[in-house]
Amino acid sequence: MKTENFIRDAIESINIEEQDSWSSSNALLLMAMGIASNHHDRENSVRVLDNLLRQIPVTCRFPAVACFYRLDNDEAEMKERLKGLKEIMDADLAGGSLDPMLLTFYTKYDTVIGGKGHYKQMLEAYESMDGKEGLYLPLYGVALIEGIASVDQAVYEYYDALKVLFKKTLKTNLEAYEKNELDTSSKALVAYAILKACRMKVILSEKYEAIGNAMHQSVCESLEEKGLNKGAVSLLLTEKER
Amino acid sequence: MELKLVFQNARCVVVELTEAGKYYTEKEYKIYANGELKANHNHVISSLYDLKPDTDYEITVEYEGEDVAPLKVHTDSQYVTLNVRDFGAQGDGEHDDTNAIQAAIMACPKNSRILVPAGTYKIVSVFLKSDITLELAKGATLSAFTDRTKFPIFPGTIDTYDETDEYNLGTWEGNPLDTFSGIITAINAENITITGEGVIDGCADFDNWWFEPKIRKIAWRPRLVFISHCKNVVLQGITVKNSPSWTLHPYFSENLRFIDIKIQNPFNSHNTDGLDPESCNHVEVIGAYISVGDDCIALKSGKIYMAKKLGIPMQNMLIRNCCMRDGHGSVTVGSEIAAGVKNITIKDCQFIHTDRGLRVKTRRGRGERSILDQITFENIDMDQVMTPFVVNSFYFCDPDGRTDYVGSMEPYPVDDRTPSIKRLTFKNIEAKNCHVAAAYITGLPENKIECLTFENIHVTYAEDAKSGVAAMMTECKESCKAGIFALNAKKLVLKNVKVEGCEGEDIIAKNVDFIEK
Repeated sequence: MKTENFIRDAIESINIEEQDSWSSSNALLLMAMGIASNHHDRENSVRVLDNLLRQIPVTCRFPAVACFYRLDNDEAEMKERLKGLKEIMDADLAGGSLDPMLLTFYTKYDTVIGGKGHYKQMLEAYESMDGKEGLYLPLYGVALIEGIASVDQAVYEYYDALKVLFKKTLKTNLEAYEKNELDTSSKALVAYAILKACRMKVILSEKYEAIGNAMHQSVCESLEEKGLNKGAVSLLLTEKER
Repeated sequence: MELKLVFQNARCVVVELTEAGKYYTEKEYKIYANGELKANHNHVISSLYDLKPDTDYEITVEYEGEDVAPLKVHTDSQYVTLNVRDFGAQGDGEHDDTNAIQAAIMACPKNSRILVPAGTYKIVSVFLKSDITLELAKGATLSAFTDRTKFPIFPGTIDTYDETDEYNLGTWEGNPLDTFSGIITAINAENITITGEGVIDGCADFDNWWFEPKIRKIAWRPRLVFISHCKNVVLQGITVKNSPSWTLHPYFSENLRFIDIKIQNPFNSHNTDGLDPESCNHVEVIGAYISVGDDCIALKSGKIYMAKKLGIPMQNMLIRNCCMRDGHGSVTVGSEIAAGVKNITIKDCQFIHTDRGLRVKTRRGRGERSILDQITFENIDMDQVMTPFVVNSFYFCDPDGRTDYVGSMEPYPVDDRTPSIKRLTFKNIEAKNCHVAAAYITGLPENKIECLTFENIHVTYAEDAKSGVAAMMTECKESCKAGIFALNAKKLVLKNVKVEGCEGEDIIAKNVDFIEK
């Protein structure tokens, strides 16, 4: 199945009316959509995504992730759409217990709009998740590589600290993979994080790319599987196409 | 008055006329080698070229009709000369001569020279190896291409195979980031001399390297000369100009000499510091003329990541008989100084028309290893310097520089991110025609400057003094003809300090524990 078809089918399955359905999974899907629409002339993807984003209040946090990936090249529109979000971000950061993907978004928000004044808090939030009971490590790995991609490298100590966390998480995820403990959706997330990290030279390609590719192959062989996290799979498919 | 040897090789000697002035001598003088008039000169430091290897020379000087005691020199021996034209370089200003020059360098045996004769040689990035002398003859210009797609990229870091360490190559403003290789680059090499009367022209302009300078395009901008992890390097005589970014950038290197060099970048060019030694040890700058668009000389030791990883300070440096003009700072310490800066002496220099004489720029976040100590300025003449002494502990130019954490004047807890300033000394300084303020000194409220000494200082102001902002920090307001302002210091020594013609109080000290007069 072609990437755009998979993503389109997946996105059509989202029910906008049900606010409760805005989970990390949907955030991943929207992110994939945003990334795809930025890298190819995928008119249909853009149309669907724009339509979705218009209907969702920006304060609904997870779609905001997608906003960024869709609006990356238009700072003015991004600032307009995300106005008023700073207070929400401050409250969320102060409150703790953030979803990893939301943290990813806030990192990007702080880099582009927030003056980079929250990096210390972001890092503390990332660090506080590490080792926490119930943390879904494959998603945490994605959140970290997205954080690494979002943080301004010129404030290098935070960039490096996220790299250290990412490598540690990757090790645990790979141990789970070797023990055959990852389901297809988890594999998609881990593979996405690996391949993106190789592309960004966060990890050595000669050591990890083949593993990422093997996971991708395994995911592609299971696209018809029921209960698949379509967001995770979409994300991996977009990364493979880059 | 005495004639002293500063440097020699097989083809050149550099001499110094002591007690004749700071950078310029008070009078013009004649200098001879074995009776042959080599130059009419008005510089304290003087280079004599076109000498023969392994030869005795008697250097003599006639100063105001009087002979100075001669200096005897025996030039070094030399094995062969490799002329880059014999390697295919055309020097016609069009042909890409990079490969031909690179071939000559790689083929050069020890105790020899690579000669670049007169002509304009287009190059991208030339790499130096150990044990070479690269001589740029009079009329020779290494002229760089400005198409960034031609330049090699130095990755910021490359993981080791066992993933326990990383190899750092690229560096940008104190962090290990992807950067284009320098126009002239040396990595892990030693015993290198670049000498002669020729020019290295980066050809940077506002439609190439200086266009949108703060945006990374492919990689960060190249230096004109990048010397990384090298030792025993001499740059003598040459002119370097129009650099894409920092002009000369020695990085984690030691035993470096910069003698009688000229650094010229337009006053409005972006980040074109003259000489930025970073985490280097034993550096001498003698008789340099520096006119640039940013800081003439800036001492660096990286940002906090590099300081925590390697912790190598910038130390043991002497800058003397130099002339600095037109930059933002004559001699700057910072802002990337996370591993500290210590034992630095600047003496017998002239600072002309720079925004600041001494410029310290630091901030919260540089870290506990960022200790500035034993930095001494003495026997300096300044003319038309906007503010002769600036110490800024709230520097706001980093990507996260405008946050409350950096800019707040309220005390923060002292922790592993708090920098320190210990002893700064200024002696025998005449600063005339100042504009903005005599001195603008700020320490951190939570970690005051330990000791500031001003001794035999005389400051006067220009009749048409212009107003300006002394320090790049949020709380610094525009001023004109202000006196000495010192904030957050433990000890302030003011001995024979005269500030004449300032508007308002000549000395304002706030939160200073002890003032000694």
